[in-house]
This record gives sequence, C-alpha cells and structure tokens, in this order.
Amino acid sequence: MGLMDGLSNWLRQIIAVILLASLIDLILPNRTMQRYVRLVAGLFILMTLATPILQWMKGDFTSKLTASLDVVEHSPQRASQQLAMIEEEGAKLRNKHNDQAAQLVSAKLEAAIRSEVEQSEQRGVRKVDIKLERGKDDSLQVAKVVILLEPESARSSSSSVSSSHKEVEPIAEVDIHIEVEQWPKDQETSTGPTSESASESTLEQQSDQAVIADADQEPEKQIDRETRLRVSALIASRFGIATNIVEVKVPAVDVEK
Amino acid sequence: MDILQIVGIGFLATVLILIIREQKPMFAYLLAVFVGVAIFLAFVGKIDDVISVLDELADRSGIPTVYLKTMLKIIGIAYVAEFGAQIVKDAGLESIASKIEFAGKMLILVMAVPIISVIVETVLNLLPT
Repeated sequence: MGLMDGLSNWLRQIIAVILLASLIDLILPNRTMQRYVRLVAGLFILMTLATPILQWMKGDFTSKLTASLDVVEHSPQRASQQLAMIEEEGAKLRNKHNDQAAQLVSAKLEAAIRSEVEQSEQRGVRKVDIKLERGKDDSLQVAKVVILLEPESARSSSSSVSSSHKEVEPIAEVDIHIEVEQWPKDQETSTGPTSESASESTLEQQSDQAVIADADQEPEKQIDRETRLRVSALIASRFGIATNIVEVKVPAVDVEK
Repeated sequence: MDILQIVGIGFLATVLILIIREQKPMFAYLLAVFVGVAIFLAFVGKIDDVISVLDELADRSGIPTVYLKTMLKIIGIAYVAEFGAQIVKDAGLESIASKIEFAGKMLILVMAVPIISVIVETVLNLLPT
C-alpha cells in the first residue's frame, strides 16, 4: 500500500509539474526569455523525477531548497556591504551623541566645581578644566581636573605671613603701626639716647620687614599647598573625584610689587 | 474589456501615431508608451485566473509550493523585463533594451542556481567515490 501510495503521488507530481511547465511556457512573453525559462522548468521537472532518489539520499531536501531560494530572493546585491555601511553610520552617530553627552557633563561638572570652590575658598576661580576618558564599557570617567585659582589680590600685602590670612592681617598691621607711632612721640620729649634707640628701632623695623619679605616666599608656597589640599579634598568629598587626579593651580602672586 | 475593444484601441493608436510621427516624433513615442501601458495594465489582472488555476493544480498534486512560487517569479521577471525592453525599443534604443533583457535573464538564472546546486549535489552523492 505504502509503495503504491508513494508511486501514485510521485506520478501525480510529475504530471503536475509538466503541466505547470507547459503553461508557463505558454504565458511567456517572447522568444528571448524562453530558453532561460525552459531551463528552469526543465530543472524542476528533473527534480520532480528525482524526488524519490533525493529523499532517499538526503531526507528532507525540499526545506533546504526553500531556504536557499529564500536566501537568493531576500539578499539583494551587496546587502552585507550596505549593512556594514549602515552599522558604521550608526556607530558614528552614536559616537557623536556620546561626545555631546560628554561635553554636557563636563560643562555641568565644571560649573558645579567652580561654584563650590568659589563658595568655600572665597576667591575667584579662573578656569576649571575637566578631562573625560571613556572606560572599557563605554562609560565616562573623569581623568583629570585642573583648577586654576584667581590670584588673591587681597593677600598680596605684606601681612600674608599668617596662614589664616583673614584673622591675622589686621593684627600685624596694628602691631607695626603702634611701634611706628610711639617712637616719634618719645623722640620729641627726650633727647640723646632716645635718638639712638630711635635709629635702632628703625633698624629693627627694617630687618623686621626684611624677615617678613623673606618669610613671604616660603609661607606663600605653603599656603598654596594648603589651598590645593583643601580644594582637592573638597572636590573629593563633594563630587567623588579622587584627589590624585585633581590638580589645583595657584598662580604666583606678585607680592613685592 | 473585450478583444475587439483592445484591437480597436490598438488600431486607433496606430493611426494616430502614424499621423503625429511626421510632425512630432516625441509625442508619437509618448502616445505609444501610454497605449502600451494601458493595455498591459488592463489585462495584467487577468493573469490572476491563470495563476489561481496553477495554484490549485500545484496544491492538489502535492508538488512543493517552492516550485510554483519560483516559476511565477520567473514569469513576472520575464514579463516586466520584456515590457520595459519593448518600450525602450520603441524609442529606438536597441542597446538599452538589450541590457534590460540581459538583466532579466540574469535574475532568472539566479533563481535557477539553488535547484542546480541541489541536483549537482545529489548526482555527486550518487557516484561511488
């Protein structure tokens, strides 16, 4: 029974395909295409004739044929190249997008750091430079922060010996003031030794000033260092940026001039 | 539409084109194209009946639908290529018409490639190694 069924099926298929081929041959518009279409139709007939052998040889060949025909239909020429081009384009756009995002982030961070430092240090910030780096998983990381502080004009007077300049500044001035004011008063009333002491005092004052001028250089650096540490610590605590990538620059103050 | 109407339209168009061709060859060509497209479009729908018959035949005989699909595609390619080539030929540009036909032939052959590959594989498998 099974054999007869298969045989009748096979014969039916052959007849149908031959009919199909002849109909298609009729439908065809002209001679030029006829040879090519006949080739394909003949191949189909051949395949139908060989169906039992094909099935015996390699099982389900129809699905394979369907798949390969689909591949032929659905892959237009240079599809892979076009795909690559589109992907490249997409990557470019994505990079642009990321760059814009990075710029925005750095601008915001810059503004935040600037306002924060200005508030805590009570001095102007000339420039904040933020360098961003792309990590392995395309995430942005802060690579370097450079803060350039405004030179402190108020501190350029001679009183900058004190570390916390605000408090000690007036005291130092007052000290010097009193000394200078007192001596001439005594000089008017007394004679001789007082003049000597006056000259001595002026000498002392001069040396004092020299010491101050000398000392001016060293503590300046120290203060700068302290400021740097303070600012970087502030940024580390506020923004979670490691202190070793924060660089605070304090421009040299022209103390003498 | 009947065959008489179509033939009438064809005659009318031919006479008109013959008259116009003396004065304005361009319009003669445009008229020819238009009439050709109109007739083609009017009767391309009729192919639906033929295709449905073929479909039924394929369905009842149990041949794989891929065969029918591929053959119909081949017919479509042949028709469209032929149509375009004829229009271009009317304008007197034989070379371009032949290029269009060439493209159609290539597409038909590309359709045949998977079938050929399957047959060749089978034949190679049949041969004792």
